[in-house]
Amino acid sequence: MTILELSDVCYTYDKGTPEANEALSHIDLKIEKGSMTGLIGHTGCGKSTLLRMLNGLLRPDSGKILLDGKDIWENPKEISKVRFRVGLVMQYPEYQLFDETVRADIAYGPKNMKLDEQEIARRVEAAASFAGLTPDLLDKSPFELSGGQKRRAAIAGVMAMQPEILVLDEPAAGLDPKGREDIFAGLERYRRESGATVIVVSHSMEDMARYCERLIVMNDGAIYMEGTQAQVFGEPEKLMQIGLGVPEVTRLVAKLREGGMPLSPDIYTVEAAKAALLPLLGGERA
Amino acid sequence: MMKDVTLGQYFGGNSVLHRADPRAKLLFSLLYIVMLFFVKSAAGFAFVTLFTVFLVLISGVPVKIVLRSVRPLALIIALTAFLNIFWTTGDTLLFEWGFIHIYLEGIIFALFMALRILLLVVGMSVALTYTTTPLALTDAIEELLSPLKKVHVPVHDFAMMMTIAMRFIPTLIEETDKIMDAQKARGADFESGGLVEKAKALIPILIPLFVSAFKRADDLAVAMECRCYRGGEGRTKLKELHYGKCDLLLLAISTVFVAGIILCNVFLPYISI
Repeated sequence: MTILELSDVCYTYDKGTPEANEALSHIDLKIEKGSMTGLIGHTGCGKSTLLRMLNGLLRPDSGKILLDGKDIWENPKEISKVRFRVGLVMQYPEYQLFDETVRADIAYGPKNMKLDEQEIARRVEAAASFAGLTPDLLDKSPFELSGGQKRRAAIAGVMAMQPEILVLDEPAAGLDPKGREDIFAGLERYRRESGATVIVVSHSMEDMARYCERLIVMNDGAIYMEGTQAQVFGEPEKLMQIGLGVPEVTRLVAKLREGGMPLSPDIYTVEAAKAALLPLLGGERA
Repeated sequence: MMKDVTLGQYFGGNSVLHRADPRAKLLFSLLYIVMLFFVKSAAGFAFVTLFTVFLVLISGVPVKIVLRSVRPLALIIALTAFLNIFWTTGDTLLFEWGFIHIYLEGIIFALFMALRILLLVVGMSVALTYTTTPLALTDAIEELLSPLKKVHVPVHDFAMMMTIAMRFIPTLIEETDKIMDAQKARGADFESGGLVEKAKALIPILIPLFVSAFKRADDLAVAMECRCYRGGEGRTKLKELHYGKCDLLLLAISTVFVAGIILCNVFLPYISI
């Protein structure tokens, strides 16, 4: 079932001035309910603009954004309600932390939703657990946390609104491998357990291959490629043309195939490669 | 949005005013302000108005853009004029009602006052802010105040502080935009509610902004030390300021300006205040 649909969305920054800059041109997009979609593209390709469209921070110049079949701009005064349904985690979200304790900061969104105290407390606990924050961190000041913990606290702040669609702009940027892993694993668990739809921007093809079943590639403000992992990673030349690529392990597998190894071309994760290679090399454990 | 606020309104060009030495322009602007307050008569104001129009024309800055710098001050100008109408007393009473007395002198004074502020803003913008980059301006201030170094005034440090402050204004505006968006995404509402609620709604923006500004300042200090910055002593400049032909021209223009005002005051003192 489609939960979010964009039809013919266009947006230009500084419209009508000499510095006018077309950020999005004729975007058509459908996002399935409960899916995890990855958005890939260069810096400046319009990804962040697109994400700001989804929760109504920006209003398209033309075209429609349909949430559950309803235009989100039908009643502009109610746009903040849309923001509770489509939660946006911006890039480097740790800069938005402000409250005295992590708990209070995570509660900021639910408080704006005017929920009662008990419900807020319940949601804060749940969001903190999804984001991987241990309970002892909740009563600390957000400014005492480490970089990775701050990031998780900020993500929890959006998760606590329990949005039907969770949108994240490079949630793992600048984190170490363990931090990346924790964040993506938390997102996956949030999606499975709450049934939410997740849209995530990342520059790491490895993360995309591991967690996102559908991929959208943007270039120059337009959709360049769209489809399943196999459809997108199956055309490495096309990705290379715009300076992107396929996961490292897929490149390795391609080399091995050139060398005559009978491997399937659609191997995108290290786990899949391991499972395919071990029997070929006479190994036991898969 | 916040980013529409114009700060450092430099408008590129290649006019005499653009090419003149920023120190000369700064001195000229000071002279312009001081002389503006010596103007007393209708003829004097007419002369200064013509002179200012002349400045706008040679600066090559579009009139529309010049007027944009006046807009934020429209209210102040109107208020000044309005108050002066009621507060000035004179000989020719035009209107009286209860405690309100309006004199002809009041109206003239109000008009002159409004014109003076208007000319002040327009003249300063074309002579200085539109034609001088903020960096050139701080450079000029540092140079002009450098004699004060003899009495241990940290002129260089003040100039460096100003440069850094101006450099980071756009960065901070961008940052504010980002934080506002992030809090809006969490349902923040900056528009509705009374004054207290509106002020409270700013807390989630101001705190992250201050935190990141302090962090930025720290990082910048470290980066400057890494590049061996140790104050102004012995520091040389990539672009040294030199007076040139344009400055002579500016000097000539200033002479005409001062002479014109004195002549108007002495020989055409009609309708004066």
